[in-house]
Amino acid sequence: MEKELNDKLTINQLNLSYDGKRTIFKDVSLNIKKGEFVSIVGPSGCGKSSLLNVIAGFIQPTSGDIYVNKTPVKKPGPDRAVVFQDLALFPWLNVIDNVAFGLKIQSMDKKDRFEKSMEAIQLVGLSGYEKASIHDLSGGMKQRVAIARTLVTNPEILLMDEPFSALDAQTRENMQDELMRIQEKTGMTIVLVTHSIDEAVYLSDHVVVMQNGGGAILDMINVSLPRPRNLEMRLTPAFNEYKRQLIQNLKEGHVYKGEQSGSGI
Amino acid sequence: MTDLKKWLWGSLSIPFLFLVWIAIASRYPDLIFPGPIIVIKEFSVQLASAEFYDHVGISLYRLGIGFSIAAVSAFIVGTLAGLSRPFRLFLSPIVSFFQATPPMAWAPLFILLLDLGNAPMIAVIVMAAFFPILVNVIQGMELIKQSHIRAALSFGANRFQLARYVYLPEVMPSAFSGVIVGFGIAWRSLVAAEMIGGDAGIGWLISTSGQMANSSLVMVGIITIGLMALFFELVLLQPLKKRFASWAPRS
Repeated sequence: MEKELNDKLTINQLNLSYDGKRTIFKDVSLNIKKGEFVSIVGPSGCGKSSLLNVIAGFIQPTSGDIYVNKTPVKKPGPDRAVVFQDLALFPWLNVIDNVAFGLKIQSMDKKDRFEKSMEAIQLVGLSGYEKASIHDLSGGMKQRVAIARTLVTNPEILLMDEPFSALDAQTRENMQDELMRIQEKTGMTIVLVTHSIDEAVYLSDHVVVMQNGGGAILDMINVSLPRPRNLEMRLTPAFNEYKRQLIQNLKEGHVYKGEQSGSGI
Repeated sequence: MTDLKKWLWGSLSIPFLFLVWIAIASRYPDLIFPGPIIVIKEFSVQLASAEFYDHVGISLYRLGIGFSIAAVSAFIVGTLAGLSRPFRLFLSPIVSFFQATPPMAWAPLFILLLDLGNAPMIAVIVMAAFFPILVNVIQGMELIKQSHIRAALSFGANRFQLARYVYLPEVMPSAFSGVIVGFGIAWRSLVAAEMIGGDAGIGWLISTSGQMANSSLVMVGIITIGLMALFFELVLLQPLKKRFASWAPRS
């Protein structure tokens, strides 16, 4: 795999197993370019969330390397922001203090912290809720706070672990559109772990399919639907063809050989 | 229910108590069980006497010292236990044993060990308050969400920032529950310990008054204990809890 100049995240021969036997995932290699949206799909237990946790630096891989901008990374850091499955908002802080948390850790002074946080809150469409308590927000609004909290520190990469799985269908679709709008504005690179094939196709430039039980990469599919995308695209034959292909791959469970698909990642 | 309605229902308990008191007192001679008027008179006499304040003061002094020692040490031990699973397992039988023993049961031993005076009383308070606070701090540490820690780490938080901005606020609601429970047990144990082995203090005042058949002074002592506990609860503990732990869904 040739490393290009705009490679943002490079994952090289990554393996994770516990006690030397229980394999969580194996031989995962990926190249993700700046500004790309990549989804990882696969059945429960395929190791996709673990892979995200390893990229974030929360879990040490058994072997293999991760590079951000060609610099190896070993531990968590603000270059890779994370939106957690349970969102991990701090309930003892109000909206703006949650959003400003990362800046406080960086010891930014109060005035700049406030300005940057207000900007992020506006970007996710939560203006007017700065002082609200986390308890009083709806599911979708909490999502927005979690995303705003990651945006303030200008991360290179946004890692998302099934962030929309707890939302109702309507809110989920809204948040998907929101996420694409935010990515367009910020040019962020996003890696999303999801159960939903529909969501993966709708949002992604590339969809990575992981294998059940010891997660190798089964397949990678390029989604070349035009952007900006909208809800109507979900009804087009092209969209459904991508879905069909992914479902088929998940069913058959054959192991992907890099040369066959010719995807750029 | 509106705040005014809640307040009205709450305040109804005061005349109710007085009515029950009067009803019972009317069946006994004043010397055995005095009614409210005699007790209120005795109260005003006591409030004018320096000795009464000395007894209240010495009980408060013991409570202040003992409770501070218990709270600080329980917080430190609890935090360490929260961080280390082996230490937590090691502590578990000790905590269960001491929590099952009434703090008062230790008073005779403490008096033998430490002689009469403040020291054994303070020891009883430490014994009474330490374990409830410890148990709650450990529980609070166990309730800290891994995702909260990971979120802070992903922003680059160091150990100090992690402790200051995640562990401390997240452990506060549980710790405060422990402080409130521990405070109640400590206060009651102190009065009881003073009754059996004290040389001063509210408990001592009650037990000596009882021996001298001064039942109205006994009642004054009991009411003082209750009012002071109420005062601490409303003026000290609840506002502090509101300040540091109001975010928690369980309260």
